Amino acid sequence: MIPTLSSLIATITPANALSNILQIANGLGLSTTSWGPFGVVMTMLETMAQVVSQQSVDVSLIAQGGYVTTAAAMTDSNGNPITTWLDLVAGEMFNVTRQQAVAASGLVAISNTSTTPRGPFAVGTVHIQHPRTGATYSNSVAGEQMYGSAIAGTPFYSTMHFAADAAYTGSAGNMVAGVMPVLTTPYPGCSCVALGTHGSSSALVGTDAATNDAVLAACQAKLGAIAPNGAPGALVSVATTPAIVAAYGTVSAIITRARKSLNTSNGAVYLYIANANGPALSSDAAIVQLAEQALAVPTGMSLTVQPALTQLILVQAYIYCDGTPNNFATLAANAVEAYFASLPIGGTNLVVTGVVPISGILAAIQNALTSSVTGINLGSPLVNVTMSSPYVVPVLDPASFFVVTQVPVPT
Amino acid sequence: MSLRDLVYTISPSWLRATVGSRLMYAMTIPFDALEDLAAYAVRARFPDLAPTDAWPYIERDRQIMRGTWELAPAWLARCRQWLDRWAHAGSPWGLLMGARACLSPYLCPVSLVTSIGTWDGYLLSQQDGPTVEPIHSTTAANWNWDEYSWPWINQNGAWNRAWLIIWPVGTPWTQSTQTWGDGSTWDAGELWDIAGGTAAQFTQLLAAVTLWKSAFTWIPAVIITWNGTDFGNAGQGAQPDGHYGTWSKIVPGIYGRPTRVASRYAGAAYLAGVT
Repeated sequence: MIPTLSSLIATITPANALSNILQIANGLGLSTTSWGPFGVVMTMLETMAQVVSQQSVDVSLIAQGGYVTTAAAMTDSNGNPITTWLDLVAGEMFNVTRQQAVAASGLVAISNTSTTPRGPFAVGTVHIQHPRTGATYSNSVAGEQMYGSAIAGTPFYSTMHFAADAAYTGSAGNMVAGVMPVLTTPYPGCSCVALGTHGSSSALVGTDAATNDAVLAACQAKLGAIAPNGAPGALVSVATTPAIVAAYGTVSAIITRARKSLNTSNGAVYLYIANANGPALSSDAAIVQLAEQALAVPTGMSLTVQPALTQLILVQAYIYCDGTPNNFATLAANAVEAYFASLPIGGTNLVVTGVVPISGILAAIQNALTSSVTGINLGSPLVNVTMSSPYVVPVLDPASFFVVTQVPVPT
Repeated sequence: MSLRDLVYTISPSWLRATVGSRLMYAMTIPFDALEDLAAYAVRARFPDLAPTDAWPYIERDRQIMRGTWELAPAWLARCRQWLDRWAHAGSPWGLLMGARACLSPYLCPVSLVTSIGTWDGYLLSQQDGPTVEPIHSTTAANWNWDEYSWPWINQNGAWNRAWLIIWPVGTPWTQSTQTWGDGSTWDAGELWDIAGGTAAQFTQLLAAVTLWKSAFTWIPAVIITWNGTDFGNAGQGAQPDGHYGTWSKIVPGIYGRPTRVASRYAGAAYLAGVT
């Protein structure tokens, strides 16, 4: 009889393994009750039971690793996702490679009101910091300078390339337009100006490593790309596969989300795209459009790729903790931003329009904080946030912030 | 050779005696079991060798959903054909195969007609599959769903529309004889217009249509009809008359007074479509 998958996935505890061995030995007529707990025989059997238990874990992983669906759900004994099996199955069976974390990078404008030029700088010698998240960045292109002003006191603007430092790789290094970074490598008269002005990038966007769920979705969408007839999965697969998009141009940030829409009043088909920071840039949409037209749009059909829309969500969390105040507000804000970055366009539980569930927001905050937190209350939102349309991505409202109440717990 | 046999073979003579051999047997048999389990764990990923509780995972991995009535051998065969079938995704061929899977094992007639009158379909008892192309025919301008209901949609060139027609021959789906006001209980779990079916079956059918249709195709309705001569590809039987975009239309009544009547042929059921 073929054993069930659930029995193959179930692991054997050392106690169960020992019990089975003793039962067999007993059945063979051996006097197992005479074996003392610390005797040679019992010690040998207990050792064997440990090995059997460990090997049953291997059997379980082999069984789970056979399917991309179960491989995506595999966790280790601490509950952390196991990525190796899924990477193997996804790569070998679907030619899908997990997106690795990418550091946020781009141009930052620096004002110099002194007549003294600074630089040229070697890579990694100038540092800036996000004033809210605390993420740090270093200059990434050698030879750039902060040019001096012709008239003392009148700012002269130079742009320099910066990339998030290793500790902030991924969406933790995101910086949106309007944020004014702090120049932590001080030069008199020099300071950063708001992102999106004076020739700087509109945003610095990092991308987190793809989760197992994202890899699974990519594998399933890839099936649609087999056919040349414009299956919905093909559109998503092309837009969210960086290697494919890169062949048609350089996008400012990796496209992590895509959603198709068909306008029933005129038959026009749209593909909305977003990156880890929110809606993609229009220039990125133009590049994705080229890739889609070449690879996924059947002859004679027309597709319009455009950035997803934005829905700002006000989040206020009351975090109760003992001990000394910590950087919980920053950690929680970053965690919620990362959670929003992982949500599909239109939110979850999509029927007509989806939602951003408050359970997800709470879980993101809880997972980011340490054990000294004694409670978390959401002041906003109080209920699941309904997305205003299926084509929006949730973005943390930068005007709102976490209200953190540090309440010492009586001892 | 099993591990317990191997251990016996290589053991010294004192371990082959009564107690020793039994002890070694008890110690090694779990490893033989583990070896068997590992082999089963490898085989479990293959549709034909997988235990039945692994089927849902294979279904999701390969995106080959099992139909409500579909027999296991038919579904397993489709699982083996997954890449061949996915090569047709987005085409009428792929969509018709996806719909047929929801009806399996009943080889019902199915057709897909586009707004410009191209028809693809499988006949009653005709097998479908990735190497069996549906019958294709073209009869220009013989399909007029909603020219008068939604003239602007037609004027805007919603040419990328198609309708799936199913003649559910042999299936438990029959035309409901219930009518409004016949004493039935509201929301009692029955379906409008169709008896013998469940909402889940039609949800599955629409999900299959969504999965297999082209992203560029809008399916305004799925038609389920019980009269084999209706909605024929040569224009025979009942046909939409350009008013099917809405559930009712206004016609001249007694003394020429405008009267609202049902716009769609009552011998069929119409599932809301998908975009």
